[in-house]
Amino acid sequence: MQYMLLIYEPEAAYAGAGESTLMEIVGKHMALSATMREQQVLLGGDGLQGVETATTVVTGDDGGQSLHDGPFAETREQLGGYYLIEVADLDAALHWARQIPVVPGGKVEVRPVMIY
Amino acid sequence: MLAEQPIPDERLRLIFVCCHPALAPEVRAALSLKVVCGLSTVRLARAFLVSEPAMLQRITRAKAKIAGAGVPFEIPARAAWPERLGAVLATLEIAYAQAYEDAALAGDAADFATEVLRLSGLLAELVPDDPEVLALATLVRFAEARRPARLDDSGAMVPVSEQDVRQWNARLIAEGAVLLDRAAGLQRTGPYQILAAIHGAHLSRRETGETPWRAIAALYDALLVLRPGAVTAVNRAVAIGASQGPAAGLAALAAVRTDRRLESWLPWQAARAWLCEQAGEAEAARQALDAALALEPPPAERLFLEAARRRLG
Repeated sequence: MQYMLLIYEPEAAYAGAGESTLMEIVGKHMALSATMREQQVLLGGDGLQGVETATTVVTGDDGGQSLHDGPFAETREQLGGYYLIEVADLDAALHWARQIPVVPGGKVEVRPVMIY
Repeated sequence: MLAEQPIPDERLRLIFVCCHPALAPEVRAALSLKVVCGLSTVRLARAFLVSEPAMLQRITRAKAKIAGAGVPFEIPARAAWPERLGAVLATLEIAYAQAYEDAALAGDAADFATEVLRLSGLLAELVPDDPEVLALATLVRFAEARRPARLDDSGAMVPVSEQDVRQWNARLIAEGAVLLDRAAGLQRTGPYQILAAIHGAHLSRRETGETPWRAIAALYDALLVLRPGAVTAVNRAVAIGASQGPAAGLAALAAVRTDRRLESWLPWQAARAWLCEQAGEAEAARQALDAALALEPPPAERLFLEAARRRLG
């Protein structure tokens, strides 16, 4: 099955972080994705730029569309990146999700992908 | 090595699977009982004190998640056991409650008693360092030990404090006592240990000739903190009534809070009937008994309540 591992973290935690901390986190992501590639489970994944760069297309109840400057929801944690993996089952997906480096308060949502 | 052993029992293994932490905590035990023990949604709703549609929705959602999210139906690794234990214990507790309710073991939950005795014992061997696991095995043994004394010749329920202690099963009591001692030695208290201690206190009448109601009421105080709930609160009110007098018991009963209507809840009406009778409030006791009898009590309890009703005229 394919699973999206969606990484939600408080952006504030990164805003105050020094370069060495950031490099350390990037390094952990590189190591994890290398392991995932080795085990042939990785289909894709990237980090996202901050929510200050986000634009949301909003479709109203009447079908009309408008643009909103910012993410769809102003929550403390924001979607900051994702991994797309293919593994046998939820336990295997959770095994990888647990290894994703996140700052304290970070969350990784595991969502099965619909296959048509 | 024990740590590498798979779960050596098909039913226990299935319970561990249904108690997957990716499922909502409130559905894990219910799902296990449905899948493993074949309990109907109606009985599950009653056991978990929720409405039938709510229970059906929980089960349906859990099954949809298992299928949709790819929850594996496999034996979890030993490392995954601790986070599932709570729901596994709840499953065994409720399965046993189904058998306990059926005092004569005449219904479709009859084999649960033996089965839960076996499974709780097996779990205590597999996880010997968890005091709550040991306490649940104790609890089941202490409760089951009293089974031969729970009904009189007419088939009516005999309250624990009036049972003939000579009919209690000494072997099960001894087994339970050993397990509870080991649990106490681990020095991490929990609700199952307190429940087991309450059962143990009732059983101590075998040696002392008296039910230590004051100690039992104190244990219920502690249990109410660790596991708040209407069932605990009602049992506590009865223990207070027996140790401090019916007025104190009725006051404790009046303080019971639950989101269901107390008037249509059997344990509450039965407790109220007994406390009112002790207080000499015959009319209130009659009303409570009539209300309790209208709530379709199990056969043994019905006979007991009917006898009380006759006594009150």
